Order: sequence, then structure tokens, then C-alpha cells
Amino acid sequence: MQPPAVQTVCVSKRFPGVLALDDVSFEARYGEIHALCGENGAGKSTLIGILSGRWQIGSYEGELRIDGKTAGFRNTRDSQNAGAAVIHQELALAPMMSIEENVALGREPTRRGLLDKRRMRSECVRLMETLQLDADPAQPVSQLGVGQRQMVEIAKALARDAKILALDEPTSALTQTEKETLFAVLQRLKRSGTALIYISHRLEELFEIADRATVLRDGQSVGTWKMDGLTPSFLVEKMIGRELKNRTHVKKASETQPALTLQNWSAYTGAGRAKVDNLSLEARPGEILGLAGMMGCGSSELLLSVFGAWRGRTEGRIEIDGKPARIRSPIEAMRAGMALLTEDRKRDCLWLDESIETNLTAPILGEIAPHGLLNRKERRRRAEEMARRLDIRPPGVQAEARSLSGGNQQKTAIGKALMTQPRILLLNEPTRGVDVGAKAEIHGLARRLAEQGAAVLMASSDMTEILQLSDRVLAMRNGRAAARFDDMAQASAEAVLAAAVGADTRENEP
Amino acid sequence: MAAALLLIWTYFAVATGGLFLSPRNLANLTRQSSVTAILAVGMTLVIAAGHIDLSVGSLAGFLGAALAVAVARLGLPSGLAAAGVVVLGAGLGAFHGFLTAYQRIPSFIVTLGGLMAYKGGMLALTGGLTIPLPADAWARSLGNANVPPGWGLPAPLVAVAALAALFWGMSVWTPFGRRIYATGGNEEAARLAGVNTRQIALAVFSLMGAVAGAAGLILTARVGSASPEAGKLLELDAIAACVIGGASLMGGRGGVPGSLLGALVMTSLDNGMSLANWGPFWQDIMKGGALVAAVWFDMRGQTER
Repeated sequence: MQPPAVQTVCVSKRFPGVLALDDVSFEARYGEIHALCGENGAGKSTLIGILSGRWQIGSYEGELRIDGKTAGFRNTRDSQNAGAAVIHQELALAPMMSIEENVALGREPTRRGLLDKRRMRSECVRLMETLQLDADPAQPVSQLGVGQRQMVEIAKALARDAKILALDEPTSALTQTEKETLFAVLQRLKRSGTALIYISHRLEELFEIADRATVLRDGQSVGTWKMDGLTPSFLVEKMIGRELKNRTHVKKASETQPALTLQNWSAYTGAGRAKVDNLSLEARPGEILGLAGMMGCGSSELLLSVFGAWRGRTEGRIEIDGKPARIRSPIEAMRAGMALLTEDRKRDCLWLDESIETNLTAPILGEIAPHGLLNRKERRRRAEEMARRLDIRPPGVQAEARSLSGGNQQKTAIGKALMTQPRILLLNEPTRGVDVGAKAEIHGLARRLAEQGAAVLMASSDMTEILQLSDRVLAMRNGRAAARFDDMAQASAEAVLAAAVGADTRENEP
Repeated sequence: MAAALLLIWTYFAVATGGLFLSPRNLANLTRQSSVTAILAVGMTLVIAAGHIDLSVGSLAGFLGAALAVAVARLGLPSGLAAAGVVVLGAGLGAFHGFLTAYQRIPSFIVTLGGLMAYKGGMLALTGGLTIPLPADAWARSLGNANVPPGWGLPAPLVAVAALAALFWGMSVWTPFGRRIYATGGNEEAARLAGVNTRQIALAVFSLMGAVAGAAGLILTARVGSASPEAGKLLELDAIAACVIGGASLMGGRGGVPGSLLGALVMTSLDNGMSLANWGPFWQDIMKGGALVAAVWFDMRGQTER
């Protein structure tokens, strides 16, 4: 029997504080589409990173085999030379260059040292025909739609004679038609003998296209199954693993006035695509509303747009304490009593080169400068108070944010949000990338804040977190409300995840 | 950086047989460095906010020429003309800020356009001629006056010190100052922390323009006349001074004291080399080398961290 195209044997990969892959054995064969599934953080991307050369040989334990032979990639080029190509969510094309230049990039055909434009064109046209990509090869990539760009990426991979193609969430930005075109191409590649590894949160897609599926959970491989005869709920169960116990909590009479109400709320990109699509919700003081959804479900955009930080157009009605409000900027949102914890703390929230003190007090500079001059004592006092309250370590507020662990950076980001004493707290992935201890502390904090009367909206793709913490859950998919669970007794991890990935047949809402 | 300056001073003190450190030369040094230093002080805020202003040299020249024209040709009192020039500078700076922050034209482009335009404006004002200030004009005496009169310190030095103290205090002690650094360090984080980042950019460019007005005043006062070439390439000296002083062109880093030291390093090299009779070409070569070396030193420090 032919050896598998790709095989990992007992691969483990450790990041500081996290075991991202734990003894994972996995294989994909030529002529099959192999789905790789799991919750966010299950280890899918890390596994693909070993195939793509992102994690070089020696940085992981175990063995990677290509065609049955041991392979170790030091970089992307090694991986490409071995016939592997990974197509990421963020496409890696040079936008101002033409299709043919992108396809040929790095291996341009030459004649006597000069570019051989004719051959470049003919090779590009041949690949575009295979992929049924209908465009002018001389057209700049920036003029193409997302679906077409994806095809250019695939053409680029094929031009490098890729026999192994891994696609990471390829459909997340595609329209239905573009998706169908992509699937037709993938099927054709499969028939021609390519090995395809397909990563997606959307279970219905896996059933449409994959032959086998491997489920990862917490860095471990749970198993590999043929898709024939599987049910979505079986996969969901494997992704979650254990039966989750819901948090036992007393449901308060939720007759209080909602602190935040959204009616038919939408947020559009500059190109007019709805990232949040006609969504309505209420968040009451004293409760945590969980927004469950996978990456790209629209919850980040929802929180940003409510906070007045969305750069595109928004539509719909927003009420604070039952009164209509207009929130056009983060400044107005903060004035209305809101605070936002962003998804990516390093990019959007922290000044890594600055001290904890500087980071914590950024939102209240105006408050602690009574006569236009900063009261440094007061600033130090406020920062130290918050650092103590959240138990940020090390305890000195002079430490640079960069020097902190992920958990303490996250606590600093949360502390910064809490500085303005918000009544409406918008948390986006509050515990992503933090260790177990800090996670528990952050959960405790969120709970206390709610008990003290804050309305907490928490977006998370971690179903455990959603179930443990929320008083009510709104599952989101494609910018819409996929399901609502007002009674946590009805909200199992399976049911919530199924709604978030679109595996449930009965949708609560259109 | 202070160590580097000490090294440069020691070297030139020895090479010129003590001439470099004579009171007369030190007074000269501060006069020479004053314009670069003033521009560097303003530039510090622009760079800290994550922007750049390439127009300041040519703007200072233009405003200096406007001052000379106002006093010599229109007969305005020096004080009024000086104030007018600073206000005009602030207005032009605000326009740069508006185009950058509200119309989203990168500041590099806006101010490169400004550089060219003010050069043209200067030529139009002077008609290509040097315009002397009247002998009795207050502005004329300013360049070489001492404060307090008859005694102490060169007036330009006092002006630099006052402006630097003001800007330094503002950048460190006021919410506005900290917000400049927050915006330059991480604009998105600043925006989400409730900082009006566009207002910050507008304010910083306005201040820079006003500072260019003050620099133009000193530029004209020191020589006693406005020449059509005045201010040429001063923007690059100012930027280099900031960078030598530890500012990062990525924004969020740098401080007024560092930029002052940077300006002093550059002028010391100029002054020392001409005193020590090095060829004039060496001045440019050494200044360029000092700039690159300073950043190299800085980067090495960062990677080792």
C-alpha cells in the first residue's frame, strides 16, 4: 500500500506554559480530503504549522513523514520543495501585482536572465483553466474578490507542484457560489491525486466535502473516522469530549430594566458585507450574557460596533437603560458607562513597551489631572489599587507590560477596562491564551462584577467558558443569532456548539 | 547619549587646544544649535505621535522671511510681526494636521508637499533676495542679545530652554502629553481607551507649526536678515536630533531632553570640526554616521533585552 502523503508520528509541541500538541499521530492520503476539526485552541493550526515549516524541525518532538520518509522542515521553502502548500485565512498575495506575477512569484521563468513573460502567461493561463478562474492574468489581485483570490492562492500552490494542500478556514469569507466553485475545484484536485487537508468550523461543509475527519481536543488526537455514517452531533461530542456540567446558579428574576438593548443591529464592512446581521439582544444588570460562536461569527464586530469603534456603517437601535442612545465613538461609549476588552490584547489594548501603570491609567488620564496637570501620586495609587484588586504579578506597577505572562497581560487589559467603573462590560475572549490559574481568576472576577450589578457581555469560542459563566447564551453564526438559551438547564455544550457551527437542523431563528 | 556627547566634547577640547570649551565658543555653540534644537523639541511630539513633519525647515524659512517682510517692508512692529508669524505657523500646522488626521493623507506626503510649497512661498516673498531687518528693529537685536541684558545668557539659549521646559512638562505631566505617546505607541489601543486620536494629531501639528514660527524668528534674528535659502534641510537635522535622542519613527518613544541632547551632538560635531579645521565635507559625513550609529546602538540594546 502506498504510504500516506503526510504523516505525523507522536508529535508534541510545547509553547511556554501550554502543550499545544500532545503526542498527535495523524495521516492524510493522496486522493482524499481529510478534515481536521476541533474547538479553537485544540491544536489544528499548530499541527498545520509543522507541515508548513512554520515550526521548524527541532522545535517539536515526534516525527513528520512525507511519502513515508522522515522530513523535517526548517522553513516554508523546505515545505514547498517537499510538495506541501498551506493556504491560510489571511491570504498571502501581493495585492498590487497581477495574477500571473503572483502565481509565478519566487520561481519566475527566465530566458537569458530576463523574465520570460510569455511562458509566465501561458503557465498561468493553464492553471487558471484548471481552476476555472475566469479573469485576466494581467489584472492586479487587489481587483479580485475573495473567492477569486483564493483560487489564485491555489494556482500559486499548484504552480509549485504541490501534492499536499492544506486549507485553513477557506470558506470563511466566501459567498455560496464561490464556495461551490471552490468545492468543485477541491474535488477535482482530489481526483487527480492531491492530498487535501481541510480545516473548518463549519461542520456541514465537512459532510459535504470530506472523506475522513480527525478530531483534535486540547492538543490531543481524539480519533479519525470515515465521514460516511457519521453524524454532526457525534463530531461535536468528540470535539467537546467530556460531558460538561453547567454552573449551578440561581436564576434571578430578570425583570430588571436591561442596561443594554440592541434592536435589529447590523454592522457592515466598507464593502457592504454584513458582519453583524440584524441582531437583537438584551443585557441586564447582574447577569452575564454569553455570546457563543466560532471565529468569524460576528461577535467581535458586534462588541466593537456597540462600543462605537466599528469603522464601517452600523444600523439598528441601541438603548442604554431603556433610553435610545447614539454611540459614535469609544469616548461616547465610555461616557455611557461601557468598557470593552478587545480580542487581541497585544494589538488593540496594550502598550507593551510601557509600564503596567501607564497601561492601566490610559483611560482615566483626564480624571486624575484636576488642574490640567497629572496628579502622579493619584495615578500611582489608582494603578496600584487595580493591580492589587486583580492580583497582577509581579506586584510592582512599574514593570513593562511586555515582561508579563499572558495571564497577567490579560489582567492588565481587563484592569484598564475596569478603570472607568463601567456598568456595561463587553468582554471579547477574556481568557484566550491565558493559563488555567489566571482563567479561573478572570472568571471569578467576571462573576463578581455581575453580582455587583454590571451587565456583562462575554464573547467566547470556548464552550466550557460559555457554559460555566453565562446566565444566558446567545449562539452566533454568520453575524446572526443562531440560537438563544435563556434557560441554562437546556444549554448543553453540544447544543450550543451545534448552533454555533450550524450542525443543528432545527434553528431557533431564521 | 550623554556619554557620547561628553566623548565628543572631550575630543574636540583636546583637538582644539581648549578653544572648543572657551566661553565664547560655548555661547556660539548654543546660538548655532538653537534653531535645530527648537525644531527638534516640536518634532519630538510629532514623532512621538507616530507622524513626521518634513516641512518644518522650509516652513521656518518661510515664516522667517514673512517676519522680515512684515518688519522691513510693511513697517510693522517686531513684536506684532513675531506673534503673527507664530500664529500663522500654528495655522499652517493645523492644516497639515487636518489633512493627515481627518483626510487620511499620510503625514510624510502632506509635509513633503509643504516642504516644496513653502520653499516656493519663500521665494515669492523675498523675490530671491536677502531682506535685511532695519538696524533698529527689536527682532534684530534678539539674535545676539543676552538675558538679562548686558550680563548672562544668549537670548536664543533662553528661548530654547523655555520652550523645551514647556514642551517637556506638557509631554510628561499633562493628560494631553501622555495621550500623544499613547496614540503613537498603539493608535488602536488609544482610540479604544477613549483618546480622540485625530484631535491629538491636529494639536501636535499645530504646535509644530507654531514652533516653526519661533524657529523662523530666531533664524532671521540671528543673521539680521532673511535669505531665500534659510532653513534649508533643517527638518532633517531636527528629525536626526530626535532619533539620536532616542525617538522611534514608529511612534510612542522619545523625549524632549533626548532630542535636545541630539541637537547638541549634531551642532557640536559641526562646530568642533570646523574649529579643528576638518574639511567641511567631514561635517556631513560625521553627522550622517552619528545618526546611523545612534540607531544601531539603540537597536542592539533592544534585541538584547
